[in-house]
Amino acid sequence: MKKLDDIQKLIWERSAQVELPSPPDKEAVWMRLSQHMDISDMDKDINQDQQRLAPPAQRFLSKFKPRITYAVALGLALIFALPIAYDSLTTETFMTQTTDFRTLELPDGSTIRLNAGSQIKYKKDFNTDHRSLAMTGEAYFNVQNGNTPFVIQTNQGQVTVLGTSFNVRSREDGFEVGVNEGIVKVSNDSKSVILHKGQMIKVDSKFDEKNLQNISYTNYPDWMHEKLVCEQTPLSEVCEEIERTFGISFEFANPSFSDITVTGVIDAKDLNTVLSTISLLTQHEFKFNGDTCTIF
Amino acid sequence: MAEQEQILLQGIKNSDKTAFNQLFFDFHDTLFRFVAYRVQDGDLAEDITQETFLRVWRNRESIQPEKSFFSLIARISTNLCYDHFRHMEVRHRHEDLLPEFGKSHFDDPEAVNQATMLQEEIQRVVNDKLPDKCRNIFILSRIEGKSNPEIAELLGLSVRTVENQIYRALKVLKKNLKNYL
Repeated sequence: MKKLDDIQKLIWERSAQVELPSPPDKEAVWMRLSQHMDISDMDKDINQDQQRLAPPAQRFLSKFKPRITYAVALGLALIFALPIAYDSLTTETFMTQTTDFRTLELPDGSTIRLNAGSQIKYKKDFNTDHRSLAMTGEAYFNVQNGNTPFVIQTNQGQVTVLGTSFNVRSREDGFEVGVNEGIVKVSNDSKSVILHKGQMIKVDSKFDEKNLQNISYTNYPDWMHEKLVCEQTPLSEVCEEIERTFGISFEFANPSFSDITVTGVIDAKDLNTVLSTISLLTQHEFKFNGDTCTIF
Repeated sequence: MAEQEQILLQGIKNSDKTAFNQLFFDFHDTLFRFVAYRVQDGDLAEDITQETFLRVWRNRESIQPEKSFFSLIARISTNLCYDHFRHMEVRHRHEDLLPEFGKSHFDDPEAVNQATMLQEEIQRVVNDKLPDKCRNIFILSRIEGKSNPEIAELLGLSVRTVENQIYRALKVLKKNLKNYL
């Protein structure tokens, strides 16, 4: 090194005394980056396909110009007919009726345990260049690590993951996601929130990072452990879950009963235990008539 | 190490995501600090760092594995910083007119102020006056605390070049900092 004078030495020392913000968590950055990479690869494939298709199409037009009207008519007919045929040929659907549980394995080795009254749909090319599926109802996912993100579409938004275990409960007014292992991204049209192990969030009109909760009980999700966990849950909602699980229906002798809230962990192995626990918690009587249970 | 880097770069060129992940983990923090030094904003530095890696992936086919990876990401991020500054130019022109607030005053406000002011001026001259190559070397040396041989290997240069560039940086700094010394 050449000789430095005093001023240069001072500059040399001072220049290292900078306070810089500390770098963000690399794992989280990588997860975001990895998704962007997949999206950009997907866009690129689509563009290449279009480029490959474009020149022959032009040649086709110049050769067969007189017949172009037929081509257009045929094309239009195909456009309307294809999606229906295409959909039924390329889509796998699994569903559970009430009282029914089911475990299924996806082509990438991930497993899904479907709660009663739920449905999963995915394209047959799942795990080739995408891993996305649509669901309604409730399911517990154990996702294998893979090259493409695992995306779950619900009616109200989507959940994106790389490899992890978590529960998605999709109901009419919104959906709920809780994470047992790994990191999961939950998003709807306007927002997205990252969930870590042990966190859950409800996605409805009030979807916000502030509403992140810690999972407060060890046996999450409740239905996987034949439990029903209620925290200030309206009786109407509790009854809906029981209807789904045991295939019965409830009637309230007084409509105001539906607003009674229930708090506690209910053993859900058999119907009698559930009903007697709820009877105890709500201080109301149950009476059975066939498959209908009336609450007095 | 340079050899391993070359193998990883060849992997990225062949769309190997694991190789990319490896280089990402090796270089993320250094690039982040490099960008943060330039833009002086943590959130913005985070965005530019991520975008830099994304651009490498998008253009992976044109990667030259024998060339230094850090030089590549330094160049991409520097261009992204320029884009950003061009965007913000108007705002910055106004901000420069405002007096600086929020500086802490310790026991000897005079001395503390002079020290921070000198440091900030150094940062300004490094960012505005040094040529890209010279600046990359200077930041790696002063902020990342790397030795000259380490920098030489990282950038695929001779140790002699690194020494010369650091000396050159100090000369430019001294010239530009006359009023602060």
